[in-house]
Amino acid sequence: MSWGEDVAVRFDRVSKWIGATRILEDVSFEVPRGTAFSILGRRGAGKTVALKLSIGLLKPDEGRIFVNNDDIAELDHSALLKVRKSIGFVFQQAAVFDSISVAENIAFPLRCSSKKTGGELHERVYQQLRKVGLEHDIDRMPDDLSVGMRKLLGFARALSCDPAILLLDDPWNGLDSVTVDLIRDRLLSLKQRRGATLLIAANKMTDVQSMADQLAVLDGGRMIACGSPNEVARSDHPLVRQFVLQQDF
Amino acid sequence: MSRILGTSITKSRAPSKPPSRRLWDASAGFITFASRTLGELLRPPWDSEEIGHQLHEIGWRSTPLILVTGIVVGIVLAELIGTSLVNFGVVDSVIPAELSRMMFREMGPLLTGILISGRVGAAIGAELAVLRHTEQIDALESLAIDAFRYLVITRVVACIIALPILATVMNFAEIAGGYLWVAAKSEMSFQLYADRVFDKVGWGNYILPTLMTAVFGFVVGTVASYFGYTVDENAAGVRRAAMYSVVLSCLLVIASSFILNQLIPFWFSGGYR
Repeated sequence: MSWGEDVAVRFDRVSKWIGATRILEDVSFEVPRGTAFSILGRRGAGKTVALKLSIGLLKPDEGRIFVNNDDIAELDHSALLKVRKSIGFVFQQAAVFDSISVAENIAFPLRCSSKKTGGELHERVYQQLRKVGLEHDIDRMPDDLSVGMRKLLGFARALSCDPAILLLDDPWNGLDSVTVDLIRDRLLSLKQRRGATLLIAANKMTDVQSMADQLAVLDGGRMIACGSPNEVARSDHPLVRQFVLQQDF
Repeated sequence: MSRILGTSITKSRAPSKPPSRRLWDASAGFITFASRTLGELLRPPWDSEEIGHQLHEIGWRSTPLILVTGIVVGIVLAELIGTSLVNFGVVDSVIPAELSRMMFREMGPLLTGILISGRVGAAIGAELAVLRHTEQIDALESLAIDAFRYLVITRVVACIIALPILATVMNFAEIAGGYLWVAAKSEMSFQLYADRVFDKVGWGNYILPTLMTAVFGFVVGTVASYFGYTVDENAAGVRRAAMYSVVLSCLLVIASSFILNQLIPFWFSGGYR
């Protein structure tokens, strides 16, 4: 496989162990800039670990990971933080800051990254929350929100700093179908208008089929299929067939 | 079935390594963490806004505990000194001087260190463990914010600044407690009591032991942050982070107090003893 210059994220024979458990084994793929790449797999397949490796929250035991052509396992912490400025991460359990308000959850990273203050910051926070329908919850605390609303807040927070690469860990989990469509539209708009790269971990083919340019299917940490949705759909691997037949995992 | 019924919902994981190996790993991990903390402490810029917030949490909110404890300890110690020396007939003159020497030299700084180990050590350990467990530390890092500097360094700096101030508050609260006992038992005026308090106490007796509490602040902040920041378990992990934070920081505060009290006279012979 040849690696192109215009690649946002590249996994090169990556393996990862956590304790005595092998989470990923010899995984390789590349995500071209401005495309949507989805990692499909059952629970425990290694999707979350793959995303955390992509942003340097975990380090690979074997292999290399490139983000914008930087080998992120080799970077020191300050260089890694610079790389992360171009990445947004939507966590599976939202991971919103629960001791500050909804508005502060958006304002905090904006203040840290762009030093925005006053009216400009307030306007930006309001706009971000309005895009996910949380503009009326601006003064509430995250503990007062439902799981789905917390997820939306995490989504708005990840988008607040205009990331060029967006990592989404099971983004539809806990959301109703109307909100799923809203988020899907936002993601497609990000990709098409701003050229953002999306790396989405999901456990249902139907969640990503309409928006993913490429798919990889993980099973027990090993990649069992990779390619365009049509190519993956032609796979004769039993697990991939089950995904194609739209079974939930 | 009996095994399921007998299992606590907050049970810790069965350790996979022998105790000696776990102790070695934890010691090596702590030394690495403390070295990183020391290195980062010396590297500006520091987040003054967050340090101010932590000073409020760690320093200001500890003040009532320090004041009440100081007054009670002052009363108890004054009574102990008084009842021990009553037969010698020198109570009035001895109590303030002895009390102040004990307070400024040893008891004030040490008591402050131990109290803050309990109150602040447990709080920092539990808070950081929950932040780790709920992926909020990962979220900070994903937003390109240096979580170690934002969470650990700010708390350690706040502890280093707060401890000497709290030790001073403790010293004067103990002196005030001593006066309450003396005033109840004798006719000594406050002016005379105050004169005798500072009669045998030089600046060396105050400044050096009080500055020593900055070391206690580093110990408490670093130990508690280590157990909280590096937790990798569940609810039981949070409990253990809080517990180990208190136990180890108390032990290290007592040990460092002993060591520093032996070293200070060698470094600063003038005006200390």
